[in-house]
Amino acid sequence: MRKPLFFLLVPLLCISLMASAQDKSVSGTVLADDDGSPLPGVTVANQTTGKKAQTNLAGYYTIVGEKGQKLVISYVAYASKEIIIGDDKLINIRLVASNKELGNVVVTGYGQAKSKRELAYQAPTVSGEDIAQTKRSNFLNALAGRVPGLTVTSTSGMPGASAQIILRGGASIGGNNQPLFVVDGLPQSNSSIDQNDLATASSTAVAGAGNLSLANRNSDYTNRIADMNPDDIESVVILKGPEATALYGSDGASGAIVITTKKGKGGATKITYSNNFAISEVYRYPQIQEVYSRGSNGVYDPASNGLYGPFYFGPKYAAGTKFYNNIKNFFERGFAQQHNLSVEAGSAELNYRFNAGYLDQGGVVPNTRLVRYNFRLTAYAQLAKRIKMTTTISYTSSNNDKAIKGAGSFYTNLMTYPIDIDASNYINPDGTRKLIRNVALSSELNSPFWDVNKNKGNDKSYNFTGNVNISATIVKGLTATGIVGLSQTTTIGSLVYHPYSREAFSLGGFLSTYNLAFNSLTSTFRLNYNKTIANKFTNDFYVGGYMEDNKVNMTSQRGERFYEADISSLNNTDPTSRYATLMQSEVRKVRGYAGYTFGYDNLLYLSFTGTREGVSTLTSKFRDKQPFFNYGSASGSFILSDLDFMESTKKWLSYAKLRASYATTGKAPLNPYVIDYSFNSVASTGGGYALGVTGNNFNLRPEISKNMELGGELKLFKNRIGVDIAWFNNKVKDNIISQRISYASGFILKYFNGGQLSSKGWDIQVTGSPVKTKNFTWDVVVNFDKAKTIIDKLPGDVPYYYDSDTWVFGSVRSQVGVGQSLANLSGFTFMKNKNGDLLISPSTGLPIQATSEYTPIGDRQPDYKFGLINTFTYKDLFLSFNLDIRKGGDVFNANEMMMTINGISKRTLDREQPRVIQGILQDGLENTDKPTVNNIAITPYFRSNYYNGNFAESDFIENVNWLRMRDITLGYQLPAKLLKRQKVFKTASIAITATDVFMITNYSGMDPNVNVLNSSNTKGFGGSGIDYGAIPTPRAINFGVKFSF
Amino acid sequence: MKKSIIYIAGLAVLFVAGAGCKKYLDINSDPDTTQSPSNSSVLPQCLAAMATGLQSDGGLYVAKYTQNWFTSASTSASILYDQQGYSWSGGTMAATWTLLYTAMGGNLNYMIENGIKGNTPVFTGVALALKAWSFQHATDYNSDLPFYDAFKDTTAFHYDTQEAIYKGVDSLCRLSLSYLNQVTDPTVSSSKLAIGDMVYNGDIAKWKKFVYGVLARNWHHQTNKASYNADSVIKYCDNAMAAVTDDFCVPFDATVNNNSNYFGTFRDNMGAMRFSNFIVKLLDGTILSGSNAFNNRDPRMAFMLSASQDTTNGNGGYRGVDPAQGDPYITLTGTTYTVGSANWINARKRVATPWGDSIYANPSAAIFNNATGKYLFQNKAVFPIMTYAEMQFIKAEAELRKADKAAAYTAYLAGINAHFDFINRSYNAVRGANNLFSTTTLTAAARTKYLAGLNVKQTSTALTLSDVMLQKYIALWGWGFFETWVDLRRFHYIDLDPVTGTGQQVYLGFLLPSPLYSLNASKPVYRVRPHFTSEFTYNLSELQRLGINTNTYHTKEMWFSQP
Repeated sequence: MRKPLFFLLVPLLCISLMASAQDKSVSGTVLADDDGSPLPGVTVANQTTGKKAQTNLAGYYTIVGEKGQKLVISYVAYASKEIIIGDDKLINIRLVASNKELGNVVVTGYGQAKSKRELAYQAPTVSGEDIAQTKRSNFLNALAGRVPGLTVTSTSGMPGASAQIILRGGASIGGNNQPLFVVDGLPQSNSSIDQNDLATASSTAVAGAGNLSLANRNSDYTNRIADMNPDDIESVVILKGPEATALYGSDGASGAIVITTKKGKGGATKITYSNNFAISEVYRYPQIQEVYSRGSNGVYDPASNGLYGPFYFGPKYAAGTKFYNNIKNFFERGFAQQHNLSVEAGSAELNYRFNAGYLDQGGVVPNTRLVRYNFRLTAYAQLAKRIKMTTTISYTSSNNDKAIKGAGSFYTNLMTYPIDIDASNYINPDGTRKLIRNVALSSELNSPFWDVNKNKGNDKSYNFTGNVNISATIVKGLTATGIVGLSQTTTIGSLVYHPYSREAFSLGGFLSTYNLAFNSLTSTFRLNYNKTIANKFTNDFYVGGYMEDNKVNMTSQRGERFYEADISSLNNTDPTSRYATLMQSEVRKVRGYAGYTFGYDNLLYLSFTGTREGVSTLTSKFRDKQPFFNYGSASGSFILSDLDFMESTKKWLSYAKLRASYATTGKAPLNPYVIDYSFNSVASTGGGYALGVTGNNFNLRPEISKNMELGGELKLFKNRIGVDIAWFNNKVKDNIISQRISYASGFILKYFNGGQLSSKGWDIQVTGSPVKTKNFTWDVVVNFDKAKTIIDKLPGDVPYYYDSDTWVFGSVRSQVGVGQSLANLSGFTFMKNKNGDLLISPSTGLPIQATSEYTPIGDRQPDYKFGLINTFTYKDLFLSFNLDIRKGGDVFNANEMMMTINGISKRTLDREQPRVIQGILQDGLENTDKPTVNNIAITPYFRSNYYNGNFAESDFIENVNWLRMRDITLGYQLPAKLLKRQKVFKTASIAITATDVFMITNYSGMDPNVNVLNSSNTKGFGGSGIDYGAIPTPRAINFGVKFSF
Repeated sequence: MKKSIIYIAGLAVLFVAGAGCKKYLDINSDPDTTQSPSNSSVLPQCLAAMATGLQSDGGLYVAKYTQNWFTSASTSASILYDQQGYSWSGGTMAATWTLLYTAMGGNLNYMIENGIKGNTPVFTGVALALKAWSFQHATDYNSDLPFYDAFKDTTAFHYDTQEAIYKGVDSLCRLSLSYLNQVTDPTVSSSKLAIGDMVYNGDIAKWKKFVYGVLARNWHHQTNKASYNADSVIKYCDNAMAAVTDDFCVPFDATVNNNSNYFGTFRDNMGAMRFSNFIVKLLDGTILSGSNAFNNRDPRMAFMLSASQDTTNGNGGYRGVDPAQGDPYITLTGTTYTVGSANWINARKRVATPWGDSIYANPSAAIFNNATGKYLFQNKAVFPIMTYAEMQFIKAEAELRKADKAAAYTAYLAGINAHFDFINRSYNAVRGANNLFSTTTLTAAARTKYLAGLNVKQTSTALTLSDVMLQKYIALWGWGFFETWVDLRRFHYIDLDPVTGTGQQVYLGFLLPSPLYSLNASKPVYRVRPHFTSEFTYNLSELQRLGINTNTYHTKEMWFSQP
């Protein structure tokens, strides 16, 4: 990006120097410190006069300046430098590449670079180096804590797991809240397989002896952006507010994550090799009781069993009973290795960067693995004097062996597996499954070892992307840029349940395979024009267009009744059980956009943008629908500290900026084909078509959001402390949701434009350098955010909206009503009388579950979050760590609830303690002035139903705080002196990184940062904060070296 | 050089201009699943849904209210419906609601609209006929429900009264007839209709008969009203089905679960159902002739019911159960019936399943064996929605109410004969359906003997309302649950004969369950609550307005059954 960027920078930053007298000028060459190559396009500003200049292709600059005046030299990805002009008129400058300070330029919408001064919104940046250093295979997980206003929840700790990202509080009640990913100026798909689209669920609708109803979340599917090699990322800019919405409309309503990849540099050939070896392990285990044996009501019964496995309400284990630590025995140490080799070569006019990456990550769960190959080639060519072209081709191949997650999978079965039986002894010599109880195979849960050895998922994905970026300077001040991108992903996947597994025994085995082809063509063309009037008034215009065409084609098949038990191939299934489905969709978008920025004397900037967008999902075959809608923004930034009267405060206040921005956006329906009738093919007699359960809506119109952000930036004590504060208020109306509704509508769910929500909060970033000496520096970044999204309205008078996919355990589900948080959880509580006293059943002495209403029982939105990143550098040694602190936010500990129901939870250890539950008997007098106080004594030891007869999910909601060490890195750069003695290596460094090192939390479960769903089926707030059946991210220790030649 | 610059700039401008091109965006049509199917593709599902909807709400619940059959076990959960109780949750007793609004509703509206647009009145007429039928069925089941507000683009739906819905059904029928009468190209229209019409194979005349049948039901249900008009009912019956080949029967392909008979062995929904003693006694002669002596036994009994092993019970082995009692020997599974083996005496007394004589468990659940089952309980047997026999019995009752006993008697005999014909008919023409008889038809001799016997009145003067209603009960047994329920409710289950003055209960031998379900307040059931999932949350205000939340709502008498 660096070189084309130069041409974009020119109009933005160039201030003519023509009038200046030559004799009062200074000049010189700006070079890169690491390799001495000249840096073109570097901004050299005379802070005293306010004049600026750029270096030419040879890195040469000339600027008006006199002795004593201060020059500020800044360049993207390099630390700025300040120099006081001395006697010498020739000033050569070496700039040091920086991973903290990405310069004064930020890449925003459609790859446009903008000066930080004129930004009217918060746009935090994370360097690729920081991301790559965490060595996480899914780089999204590395963003946690590094940016204010960003929440990442990994869907499990297995290799290839997807991650759910929400910026600020979320902007959709029942739609996707994931941000848009933009790579090198063009949006890139972050889709992942939606299990709903697969022919997985074996319903009796079509032939089949049994019924395997697979929830659409028992297998995880990587989100495609995770295919990116972290080593290819130069920087990541997080656009959370108005900018993203104003530019990207439909796609950017939930924010945008703008990724710039590494490019080649002219000059000496540079070869870099880095590697990494990692060990990962589980360090927090489910806590189970080891006192009471299987049975119920205090009576030993090894056959005592419930929905989630054996019950442990029997007598104490006999002394001397041999115990097996099945849980610890189950998890393995995961080994991973990564290798990256990059080559940069060429001249300033023609250069390239090639990077090859290899990742082989074994999981902590047996038979889970991710193997990934990444290749990326970026070439830059100056085609003519004024025409530059950058071409990128990238290919990723990944192979992911997965274990099944969620209910009935190895993890929940591990928790309930008897500790007096060795779970690893899971198979009989004849290949059948070993049973604990003497029952049918379909009636007993799989041994966890069986599950991971016999029931498997696999995805192979081949992801090809390429783009061409051409920019040309037509005349002075007028540049044209065109970017065309292509993306093609093929994923081949399978999910198999062995014939002897619980799930598929009645089916005789179950296999689902699929083949997904995703094709996307995106392009944008833009004209930028700038004109400076009277040296003070800058005018920047741009006008452009964007188009996108995304096609998905997925075929999926399934088969049952395996001939050979251990072969999982469609050819091994009974032909009459085979079934296939096809899903195709295409969505097109076009946008015409324009913007104007007026600048006054580098002091005040006013920007206006307008976009007209058209989306195919709004069109209809039968009605005359308008696919186009308009939105725009207005913003301003004002550099307070540059005012004359502020000169006196310069000593301590180096920089102060106020900013305000307001933007609207429109958003078309996410899914295609919801405007016209939604028919499904049917299997009833005569076949044909019938309307589906989700009703179309001819009247859908774009949803509108209004996004406001106010804030400012301060830099204190010679930039030693920086503060960036943003307050946001995002209102969305006409939110498009598929709402459950009375069937009298003709449908069970129906698309409506009815939701309204508002999201407010604060995002603050403080940067500081408490210590800065020649040998030792200490840099700190503190990120703080606080957001709350409240539902203002739902379609019509419907009382709530809920996401049925989140309804995985008990009656808890992600459900929102008017006035509630978007992160609300609803479920059942115990009945209470009018005074709020617990009601007790006179016949059982137990509380009574109130099952008539789903009452709000938790809000998963944290009160606030802190990210604390410290970096210490001592000479060539550096230490950096990322602490993530979260206050508040509810988590539903469904694992614990399941274990309590089964009597395996440590919560049940006090079962021999007789008790009288404090409450009021439900004897008819409960709402009178003289209710009967409960006096029924219970000893749960003799009454299993104390734990599993009557329970309320609200008892398992925990308000969670945490402090976790996301990652810590200790690195050592071999001193230059040492390296000078040989000629092979230019630089060499070693680093040790540990991720997810420890966590201090009040949470009683393993890890509250889990997600019960996959990233593909997250609607609204999704499944984060529901802890059930997903293993948390394990701790990993990485060791790696890096050489450049 | 300059050229290329101009080219790039030009391209950019072109692009911006191109952004206005709406045509580029006009691709929002599903490439795999059509969003504009032809009416012929939408009709089959509507027809298939009728059968499954009636079989689900009818077979599982209403058949017990009307005592077609009861549950085999006597546990409290199983006898809920035997006792005319209810449970209100999720999809229980909710198939009618789903049928009306989602399975048929939107699809019929689509056909109506499409028929008008495409100038194919035959489809509009057929869809209106089915819409009339669906509302008639649903209001007889649920009473008040959204009629005028239904399918509107809104989120709250007002409930209309049953009286309003009855008038609405009448209007829909007339509208349907007017469209069917607009057909000017009967051959073309009929062949178009035939593609998806697996019931009448495109025969427009038969569809008109069906519409008159709906009108006959609609007008006849109002016998307790002062406004009851027997002449209109008779006219509608005369215009309705005139032979068993006019019967509205939905076939099943029986190749996968969803196209198989809900009552068949594959879908396995009848495993816990046991014949009521009421139908056994109607067929073995006990009720109609006063004795179950061999000569009084209805020859249809062997075709409709299954016999047990024990043939010493007086009627040749046909056994039934009483409400909420279950089969006393239900637990005797896996017993041999060999004389002298353990428990053989009791084992042979078990009540057989409807799938065949001496069969006590499903012989082929989840396996396609289209030779299993009996009568309407085979994978590939048809499911009747409305029959010629039913029309004749409606007519007979109307004639009796007009005091034209001779005409009533003619219709009564025609009705009985129509049901014999119903059993004997070859259903191969209905999409290759299985016949209701297994190997041989009911012989003419048996029919003649029955018609001349004590079960059937020999003169018009001897004819009583009971004769008509009980023969109608037999003819509708196993499929006409909802019409039978309307009849029972019209006579408040145990009313004494109000027409022919016998001084006896119309439904001779019919006993209300004792006790009734605990929440019934000792009253029999009259209606069913709306769909819980659909209405409890999303239409709560209407439920509160109508008192649907109260425990005894289901015992509130219907508008049609009140004077």
